[in-house]
Amino acid sequence: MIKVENVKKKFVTYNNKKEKEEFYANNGITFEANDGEIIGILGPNGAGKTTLLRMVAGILEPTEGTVTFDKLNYKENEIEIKQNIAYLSGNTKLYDTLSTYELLKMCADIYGVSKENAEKRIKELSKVLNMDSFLYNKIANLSTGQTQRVNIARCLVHDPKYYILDEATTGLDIISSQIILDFIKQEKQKGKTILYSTHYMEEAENICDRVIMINKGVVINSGTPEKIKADTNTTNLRDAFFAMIGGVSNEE
Amino acid sequence: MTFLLTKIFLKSSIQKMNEQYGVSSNKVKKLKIMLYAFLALYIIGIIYIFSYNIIDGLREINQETTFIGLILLIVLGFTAVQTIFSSINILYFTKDTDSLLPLPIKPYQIIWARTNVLILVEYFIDIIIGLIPLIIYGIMLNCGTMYYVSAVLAVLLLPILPIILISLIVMVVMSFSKITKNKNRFQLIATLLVLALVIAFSFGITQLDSTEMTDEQMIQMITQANSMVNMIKGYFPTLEFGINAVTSTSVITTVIEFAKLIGITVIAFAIYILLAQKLYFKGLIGNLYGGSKKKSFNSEIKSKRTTLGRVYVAKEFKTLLRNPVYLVQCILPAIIFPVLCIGIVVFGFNGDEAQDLAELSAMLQENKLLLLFGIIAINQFFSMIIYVSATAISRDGENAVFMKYIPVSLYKQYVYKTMPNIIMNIISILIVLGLARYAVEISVLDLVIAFGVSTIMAVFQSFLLLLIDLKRPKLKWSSEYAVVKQNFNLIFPMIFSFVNIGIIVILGLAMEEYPAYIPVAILAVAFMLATVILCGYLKKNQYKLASKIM
Repeated sequence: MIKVENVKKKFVTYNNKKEKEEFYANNGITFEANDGEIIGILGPNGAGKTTLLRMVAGILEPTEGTVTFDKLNYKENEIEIKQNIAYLSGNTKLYDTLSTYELLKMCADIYGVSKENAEKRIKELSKVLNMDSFLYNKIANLSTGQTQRVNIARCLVHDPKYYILDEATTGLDIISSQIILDFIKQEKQKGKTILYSTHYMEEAENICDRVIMINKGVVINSGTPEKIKADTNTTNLRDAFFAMIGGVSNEE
Repeated sequence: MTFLLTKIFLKSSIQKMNEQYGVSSNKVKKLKIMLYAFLALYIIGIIYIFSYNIIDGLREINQETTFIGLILLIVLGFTAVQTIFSSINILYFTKDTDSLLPLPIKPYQIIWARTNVLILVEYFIDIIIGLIPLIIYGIMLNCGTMYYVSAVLAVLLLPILPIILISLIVMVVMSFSKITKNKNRFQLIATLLVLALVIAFSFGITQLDSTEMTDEQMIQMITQANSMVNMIKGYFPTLEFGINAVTSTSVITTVIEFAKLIGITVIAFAIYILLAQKLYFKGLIGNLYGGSKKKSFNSEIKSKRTTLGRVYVAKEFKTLLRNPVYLVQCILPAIIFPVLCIGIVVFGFNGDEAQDLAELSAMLQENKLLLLFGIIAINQFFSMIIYVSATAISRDGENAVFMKYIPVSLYKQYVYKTMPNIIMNIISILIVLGLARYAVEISVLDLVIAFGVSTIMAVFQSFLLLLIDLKRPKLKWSSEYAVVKQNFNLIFPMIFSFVNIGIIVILGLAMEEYPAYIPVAILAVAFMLATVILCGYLKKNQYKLASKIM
């Protein structure tokens, strides 16, 4: 179980007059994600989703609050936690001079997966994520959808327990998106805990057990998609979100 | 439209160069301008000396006009070789082509504009290698205004024919080949070829310069050059018209020769545009939409169980070796510069210079401290061009965040990231020591000591440069060039090297009365202690130091 308690992240910026300004990208976020559950983190661009997931993945340290994984925390059990995490951010071409196989093998070695298990896992992921045709191709030469499948595979090569997926399907065609979404659903069945951030409301409604809606760094609602729709008296999460923030505004 | 497109293509190329070479603070800008000015003066100086000597020699045997033919031939040759690479880059490896294709622009306009850019780019080199020597010729022989006008026109017109011919050949090859699918490999081979040419050219110049030429040899060389000019004239008739136009003293002859030159060039250009319309887009569309090679899964692949450190360092090396930009900027200098600089001194010296080297060797035998500190200082000097550690974090760009979510302590990763810099330093040190052993008499023990101390200093410097990159990482970039060119961190290897050389000099002067091994030991112990302290700092502050990576 992942437990996030009253997490805040403060950043310092400088305005046009070069005066220091502080702002909270996340301001007191609390939630729990149970084993075998997909939690959707929803919100528009700049809502604070990525900052939240980066704190959960141990990339950023919260200014306040705690993140624990089955009662383990980063201060005392950093390596142990990271050994069990899959973190994916956007669509990146990590080490694009390597081939897909080389990248997966490298990640398996870094996570300490034995040679036999690594080969088995690579073969398995290659089949599930439909990567056989480009397993030995250089990542730089792959399409966006292929690259994202490689990204997912490299995060999962060590068979982690917790998945932190930040906008895993952004920019992908429907076939690539569907392969990834089906895969996430399968992993849920295996009891994995999945945090899934997206700004595609329909996608969240389709795969998430519960959703946490964030706007301007705070949680504006949370619960099952049905509960949120009922709360806002709407028929889908998109309308529910607009109902909560009071319609479309040009204000950032 | 063609003019507008040329302007846009050229502007985007310059913009790309600015991105690559950095338009940062005014101070840095001024420093760069000064550096480029110095470099330009240096090149002009070399060309001046080279041209002056040849023209002077030719004047003595009344063959000075041969120089014009020779220079125009060099312009043609250089343009032809350079176009092989630049045409592929400009015509095929530009990212804006896919957005141009849907626009209502006629195909010939795109080709024409791209070819214009290609010609303009070639002019940069042609002006340096062609126009400057011809101007020196004009000054030395007190030529009139007509000569200078003809020289400028010849240098501008002559390259066009080889450019379009080579471009056409390239288009035919690209229509069938898969070069575009291996862009990185192609660029790497091209860079290595250019580097090989530069090295060969440097050695050639050294040999030529160090050899005293007799009159017979000079006449023989001119005869050979002349026969080569005559041979090329057969293939490129424009060369003959160009030479005639520049060497002629009659205005009418000059005008007629230029009219022929322009006429042939215009006709060739028109044919080129016609043919290119058929060939260019065939190769280009293959480039833009080419699929990837397929291989079936091979479950029999055997991989060795490797340790984490080895995997991590191998990953760093793979990134460095497979990316042409990093290979050329971070790896090759460690090998090429010691070979080039010391190699020229050791193998290029003849006659009096070789005698001087022998005397230096004898003197160093008597002053062991100077010998050891000299070698260590030379190693320090070459370490200033090894940028592996100084870009270790920046090279990963926004992917550097990978370091923060894998289950490996940050300190361990810092150590792994420093390893390639240390290894490249060791390679450079070994080259220097090998060449030193060849040039001067040095015992095996002294070689081992010089190697040990140089390596200790290299380890310290490698960690220090990593620290700099951690404190000031350049993580947002769109091209790898930005990491190795538009990165102020790269000034630090130079600063540290000079500081270290300063320390060596001061220590050497302060302790010249002591037995040589004492100051050498002090230097080694001091840098070892500094390394321990630095590593302690990195370990203690490992998380804080990574705060800019997110």
